[in-house]
Amino acid sequence: QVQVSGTVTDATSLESLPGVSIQIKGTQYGTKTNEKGFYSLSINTPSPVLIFTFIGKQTKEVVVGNLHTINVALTDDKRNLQEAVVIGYGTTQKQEVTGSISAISSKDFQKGNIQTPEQLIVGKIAGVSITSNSGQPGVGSTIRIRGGSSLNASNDPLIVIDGMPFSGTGINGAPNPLALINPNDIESMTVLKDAAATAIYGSRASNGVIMITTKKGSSGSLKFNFSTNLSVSSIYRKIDIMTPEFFRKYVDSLGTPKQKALMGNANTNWQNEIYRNAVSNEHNLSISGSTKNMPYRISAAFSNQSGLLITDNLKRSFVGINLNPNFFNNHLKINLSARGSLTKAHYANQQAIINAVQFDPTQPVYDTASPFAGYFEWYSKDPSSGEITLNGNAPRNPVSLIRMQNNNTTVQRSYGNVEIDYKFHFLPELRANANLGWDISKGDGLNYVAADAGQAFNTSGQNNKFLQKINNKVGEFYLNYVKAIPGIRSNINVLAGYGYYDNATTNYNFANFNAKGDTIKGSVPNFPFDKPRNTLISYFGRLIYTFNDRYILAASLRTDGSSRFAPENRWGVFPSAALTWRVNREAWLKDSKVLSDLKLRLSYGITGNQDGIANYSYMAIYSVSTNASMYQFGNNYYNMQSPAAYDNGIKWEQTATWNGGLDFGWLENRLRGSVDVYFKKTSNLLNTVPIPIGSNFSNQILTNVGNIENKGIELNLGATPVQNNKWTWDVNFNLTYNNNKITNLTAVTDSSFVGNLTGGITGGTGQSVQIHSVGYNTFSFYVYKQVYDANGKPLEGVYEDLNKDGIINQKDMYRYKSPAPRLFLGFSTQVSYARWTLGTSLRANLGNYVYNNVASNFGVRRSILNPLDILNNSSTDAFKTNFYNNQYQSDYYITNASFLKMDNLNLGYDVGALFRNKAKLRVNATCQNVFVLTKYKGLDPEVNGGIDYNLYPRPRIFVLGANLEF
Amino acid sequence: MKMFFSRYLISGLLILLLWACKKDEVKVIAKPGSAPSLAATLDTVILLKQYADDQAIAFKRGTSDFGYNAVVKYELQFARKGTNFADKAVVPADSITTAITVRMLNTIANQLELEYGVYADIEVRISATISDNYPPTYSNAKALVVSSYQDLVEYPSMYVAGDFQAWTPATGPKLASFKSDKNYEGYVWFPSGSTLFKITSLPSWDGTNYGGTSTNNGGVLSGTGDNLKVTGAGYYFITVNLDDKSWQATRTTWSMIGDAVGSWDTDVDLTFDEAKGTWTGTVQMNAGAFKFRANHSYDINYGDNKPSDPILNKGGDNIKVAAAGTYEVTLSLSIAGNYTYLVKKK
Amino acid sequence: MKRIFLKIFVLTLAVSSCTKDLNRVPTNSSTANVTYSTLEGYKQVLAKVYGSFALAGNNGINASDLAGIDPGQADFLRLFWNAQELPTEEAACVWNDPGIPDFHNMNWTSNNVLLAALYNRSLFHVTVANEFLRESGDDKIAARGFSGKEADDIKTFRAEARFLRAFQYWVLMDLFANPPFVTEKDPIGKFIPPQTDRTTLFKFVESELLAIESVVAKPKLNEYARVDQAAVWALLARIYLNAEVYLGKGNAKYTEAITYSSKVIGAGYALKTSYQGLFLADNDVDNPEIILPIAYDGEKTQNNGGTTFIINASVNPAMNAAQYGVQSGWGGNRSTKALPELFGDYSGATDKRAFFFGDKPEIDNPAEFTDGLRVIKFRNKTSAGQTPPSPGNAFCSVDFPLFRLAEQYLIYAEAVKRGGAGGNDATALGYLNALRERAYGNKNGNISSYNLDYILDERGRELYWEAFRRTDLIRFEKFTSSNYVWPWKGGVKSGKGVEDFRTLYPLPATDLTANPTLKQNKGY
Repeated sequence: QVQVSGTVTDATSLESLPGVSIQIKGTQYGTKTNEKGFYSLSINTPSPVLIFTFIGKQTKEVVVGNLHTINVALTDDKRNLQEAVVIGYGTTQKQEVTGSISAISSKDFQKGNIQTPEQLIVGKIAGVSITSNSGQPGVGSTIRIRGGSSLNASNDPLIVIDGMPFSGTGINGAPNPLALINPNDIESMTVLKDAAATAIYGSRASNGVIMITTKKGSSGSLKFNFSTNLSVSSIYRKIDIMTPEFFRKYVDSLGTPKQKALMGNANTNWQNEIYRNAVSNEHNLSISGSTKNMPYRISAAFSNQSGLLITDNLKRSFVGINLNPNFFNNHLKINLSARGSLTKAHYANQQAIINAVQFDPTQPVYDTASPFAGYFEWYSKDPSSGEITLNGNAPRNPVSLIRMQNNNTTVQRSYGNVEIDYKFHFLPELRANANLGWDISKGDGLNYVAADAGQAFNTSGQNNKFLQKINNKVGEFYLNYVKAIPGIRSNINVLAGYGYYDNATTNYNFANFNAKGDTIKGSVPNFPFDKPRNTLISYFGRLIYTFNDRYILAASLRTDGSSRFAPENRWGVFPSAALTWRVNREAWLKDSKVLSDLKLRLSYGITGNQDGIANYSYMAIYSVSTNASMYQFGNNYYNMQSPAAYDNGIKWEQTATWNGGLDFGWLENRLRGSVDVYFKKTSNLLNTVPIPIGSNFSNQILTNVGNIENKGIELNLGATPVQNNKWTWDVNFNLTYNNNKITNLTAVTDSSFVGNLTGGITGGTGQSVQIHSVGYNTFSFYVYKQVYDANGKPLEGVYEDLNKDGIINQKDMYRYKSPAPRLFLGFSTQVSYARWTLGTSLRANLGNYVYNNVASNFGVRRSILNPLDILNNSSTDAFKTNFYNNQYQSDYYITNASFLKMDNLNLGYDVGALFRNKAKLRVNATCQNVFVLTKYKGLDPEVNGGIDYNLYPRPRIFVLGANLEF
Repeated sequence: MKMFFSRYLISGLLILLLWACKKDEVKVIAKPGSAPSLAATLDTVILLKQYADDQAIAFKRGTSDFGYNAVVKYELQFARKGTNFADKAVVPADSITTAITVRMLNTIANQLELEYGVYADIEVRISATISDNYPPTYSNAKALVVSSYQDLVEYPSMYVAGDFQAWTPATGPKLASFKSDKNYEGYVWFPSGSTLFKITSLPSWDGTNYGGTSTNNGGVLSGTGDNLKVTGAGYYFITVNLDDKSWQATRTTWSMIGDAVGSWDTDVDLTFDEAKGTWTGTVQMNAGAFKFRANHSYDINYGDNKPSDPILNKGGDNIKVAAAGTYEVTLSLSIAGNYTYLVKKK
Repeated sequence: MKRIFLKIFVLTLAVSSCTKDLNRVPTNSSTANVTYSTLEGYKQVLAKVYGSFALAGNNGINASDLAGIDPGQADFLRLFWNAQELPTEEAACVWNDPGIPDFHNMNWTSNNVLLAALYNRSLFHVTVANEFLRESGDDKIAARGFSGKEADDIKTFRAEARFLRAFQYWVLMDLFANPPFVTEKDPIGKFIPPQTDRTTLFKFVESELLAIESVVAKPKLNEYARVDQAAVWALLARIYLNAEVYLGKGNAKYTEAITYSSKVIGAGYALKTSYQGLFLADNDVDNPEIILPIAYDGEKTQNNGGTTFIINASVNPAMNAAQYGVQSGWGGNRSTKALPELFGDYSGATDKRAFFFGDKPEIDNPAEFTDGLRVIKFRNKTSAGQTPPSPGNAFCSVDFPLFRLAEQYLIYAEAVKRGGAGGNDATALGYLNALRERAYGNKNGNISSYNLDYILDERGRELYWEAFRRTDLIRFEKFTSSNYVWPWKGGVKSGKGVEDFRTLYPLPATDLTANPTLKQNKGY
């Protein structure tokens, strides 16, 4: 018998590691290090070998020989296949995963000034496209997992935080519900993509699931972590418009005398007037540790973000607490997570963005003679009466739009959950788990515009408030039984559960007021508030059966009942099944030196969707009209009571998904990756379609009709080309190909039906340039085919007569490309040398097309030399086309907006220990939005929905940060 | 290993960039249009008012190919022969065949200012266009001989027959009743110092032949009265009112007035061309407006409410002149009710 | 341990009893039974049946009952006005918005969004009226406990709803001829309305009107803006006058047209002394002439269609918009010169019905608002010259006359000339001269005889911009003809004839898709 003892430390941080398990190879015996990282073990096996294992570290084996003290430093294992992976209602080992799941942990997150959680994983995961909606501080993103599968219901994934599903409802006054989550509190994000992974979430999983796991306390000693950063945002690219000099020349050469006389004497670059370099900062403090059996983590953060638009500002404070006590020798675990946030925003009027493109550059910002608070505006004055008429058809002064509007909001939010997990004493294989969650918030705000502001001159200003309260509740309960049956080399894992989800919002109604506080006529509400509410009740179950450690069968079943559907259509059933074959466990591969992992996956499942639609659309109801919509009988005015269109039979939209996947690793996983192929078919689309007029109280209704298919391939590759004492070089690459197609849109097949128009643009009333039609991508552009002259100049109003009937009309419109990229590519790499790390992330979208609405709306002579007695500036595209009139529906304005973006370039330096090893300091510098390569001539090729108009520019940000731990 | 990676990485990125920027759209480029053919059913057309609604001629055109599926706008263009279509009249030629009625072709002939009732050579061609911003193409010009008519408005009429024209009502100047009521008017040239005449209700002596009293070139009519008499040679405005049976002949000389011919204070006189029965002048004009008036007074004056035709309106809108220059002005009042004018730049 | 188990069991039970939570109902809406429990409720639904004329939807200017069109353009009158005026010599619009240019160019297709919107609006109006009728049958009234005067009131409401439905079926018959047909007997929901045809529809409209003739209020005895007997007669006279168009040549009903126009004329309505007063913001008071208006109010009935549209679209800032009681005007509609030419002297000096602005009657550039005379017949001003209040001065308070006495005079005179029995020239001349005397302010414009062409011209002078012209031109066989053209008719400056099938509008492609039983009108 030998007594061996020692300390286990982290090879990088040199901290001691508590909880490292030490096992004597070939036996059941072992121990764990204590909170100081110390262990001691008595051995009575011959020629013993110790195995040191710790989550996230490379396992180390040490031959004891005649040593008595064995100190071990464990290095990080970035490719540890033993990693636990979060799945719905549980976790699993990565190598046993049966579905298509990708996880990113905090060390692989995007670096820099990250405002919202989803931005942490931009470009990191195949099949997940995340596009920030604009450059506004805290703004949300459009997240699409494997393309959109719905037309009128939601395409957003389900967000689950620490096991608690979020409702996805927007919060008034906040730019984005996710913006109320502190990115610094996030430990890892896991994306569930195929039905095998998501079906357990049933009706809410058609668009994929993002599981967010927050940082928990560790069982070590009390630790403080303080990080701070300072960032400067600057505008990266402006819309290319005529300079004042050029504009003058243009008007002088082409304008009428009357138009020339309209020009002013100033030289105003309106875009410069409304944008600025914005300085922001952010501070985070977290305290973590453990008291007795209770690890805890408390965090607080404050951020002050300024937008590129003058006055735009968002201040947020976060507090969070995680408590994870366990009792009865780990039989009872409780996870408590509670978070609060307070957001105060001042919103700049974003109308200014497009007005700055349009506004006459020869006019000054300020005009002392102007009755509009001294800002220049287009107005006329009756010489005799002195009556002022503001030109209602002219754009308003962009600076005034921002400066004269005071739009402030405050949002308070609290969310969290208590999870109680009990492992039965008499049957440890059985767990009961109850999870109760809440998400409550209150948003209020006031938008004040002074009486003399041009933007609200006709109503003598504006003074409008709002108040909204949200109260969402979640309760889930499940039983989980896990049992290994070595006799038949089997392992079973059974789960059965119940869920209750209630989302209630209260919107308070207020009248509109002018600046003085007088009520605007007709705006007094009939009801003090409205309370839209929806509820979902679910039963779910799952079986995972593993045979011989290499064949895994997983099946799940969930049934959901939704308050949005009539009782007879309320319940939907969502099954899934998956097979996994761990090929490298087969005898003939077991000893392969090269192959470290090989796994085949196959799954099929059905998920449902009901999010994003109205709450009561199955009911026949009467509503009372507002006080601006009354009708006169005699001398009295009556509110109108009117029936609304309804579809009694509305029901679940369903998506069936096939997925085939292959996971592989070579050379001890220094080269690793996975490939997935999927096919998704959505049927009973929740689709707003024309109905026979006369059969209901509208001409179109939300009903279940139509099918969409998505097909795709995903590839993830990771490699560690270099790894030695000093150098580490990691490379990650992912590629996604996705193509969607509408296969049906109507209840009755009608080959003459062109489709449903969508994609409204700014310009002539009611113009749209996109269409959903059978056989094509969703949101395909629907336009006329432009004809060019030999010099490549488009001929105004000349289009190809595609159906050759001798006239140009709607029948000649054709479906041309779509805004959705065919290919997404993500690439990131990091090089570490000693204490330095240098990393970058790049992203490319290929085959995405954009309609340049800025050019189509302003880039024509009729807009510049405007018949409405004003002059407008225009994008320089006007000279490329020489168009006189708007040609909104020409395919000329649709261009390939494929791009390559460097999202991020960062350099970190580990200063190391300070204050006699009491503290450690890391500093870093990051540049975000480093460059964009694209042929697209507009502001930014990355445009959600493909119509580029009033886009808040995405800034380039320089960030300096420091992280101090003690 | 490192080499392997960097090489593949870089070439991979390059391929990507190339792909991103590759032009993946085939633009439709318009080519110069091919000349369309043109055939006509006739090469000589005599236009007669009584057949105004009948077909005069039909044209058949070919098509023009602009190198893509174009919507081509075809137009028949008419011009005087040898003018190279400098001043042209156009008619849409949407269908392969375009039938032109006598009225339409006559309007075209009038637009081209062909002389009435005589054969004139004109040319016709098809123009094919896809856009105002793209050069049209033309068919060969086809020659056509046309004789046109003057489209006079027919009013109920009376006839002035007298010694100045051998007492033949059939060839006598007409007086017209614009409103088909009892009031008739018209302009008549009396060449001699005193003129005897009657006013007949028919273009022969078979109807009522009004004579009557004559004092100061006016008087009262009667179906059995003496010859009427006007003293003094000149261009007379004759009015007849069959309600009170009065008649009046007012001698007129004609002039133009307005800023287009100087000012609104001074008249520019026209001279009477006896052979043609018109008042003419060669007048220096500026951009502006003018009116025609009689006897340097606004009592009888003519303007134009509809510049698209040559018809004058009594007391009508000022006649606009766009550009300065020397103009040939012709004022024709000799066909009752069809008072016209022509202002032609020299 | 047992206790824990028990707790779990109880919890499970509690949980399963929660399924009733799935029956969520809206906070501020009610069901039919609640709505119709009071007379007030009935009247509020009736307000919707009437209000569907005036308003696009229930919730202010940005809401619409119907999709596929901007709410500002979605109300009945704006759409109807466009369809009746823009394809005629009375109006041409400079806007290039989808659907607008097709009208004057006379090249609309079944994809025209404005025609689709009008068709949808009319049938929506029918559907809403049907709903009211479903809920106001004698059995329902009784079951809901109404009796006596309340029950009588509801019966009157019901007759009025039938009138409004008949009116919309008249619109559909006139413009689309063969629309789908639904009544209160048909269900709401998955139902395919069958197509009807013009002849059947004529009989239906006629029989409905005759059926309610005795139920609605006696002439001039109903509240303002509600239907009385005279309105029923007026619509009958209108459909009888056009019977040969609706039923085919040889099916004239001029005698009936005389009968019913005479009834209206004898009902106690009188010409308003001031012609201009008919189109001012206080035309709802002291107005003996209007039989049935669409009522508008700048504060309580806010919308961007109706007279707000008619007035704003005919004004631009350069005209000193405030004079017409609007903010700055939208600069869209004006006349072709054929309209002022109907007056001869269109200065307003002789015939005071001529309300024109501008100095260039000729439209050289169809996109130039100042080409063509603006029509300033409607003004958002009271007779005292005040602009009625509205938020931001954005909405107009002028009521639109759907039926007024002058039209009945003209119907009478035309029906006499077309050979109807029961009337005579002398009476007709009296009526026509009554209009002339009001127009001239004296007898200078009086006539001593007239013919049919005179009637068409006089209808133009008296009723221009009141959404009559297309129907009139069709009745006079001049709508598509190449013998009667106006500037830019058919899209060419000098005007040209178009295909005869354009006397009907196409059924919208959207409904042909949604309702596969429909057959498209000839030519489309």
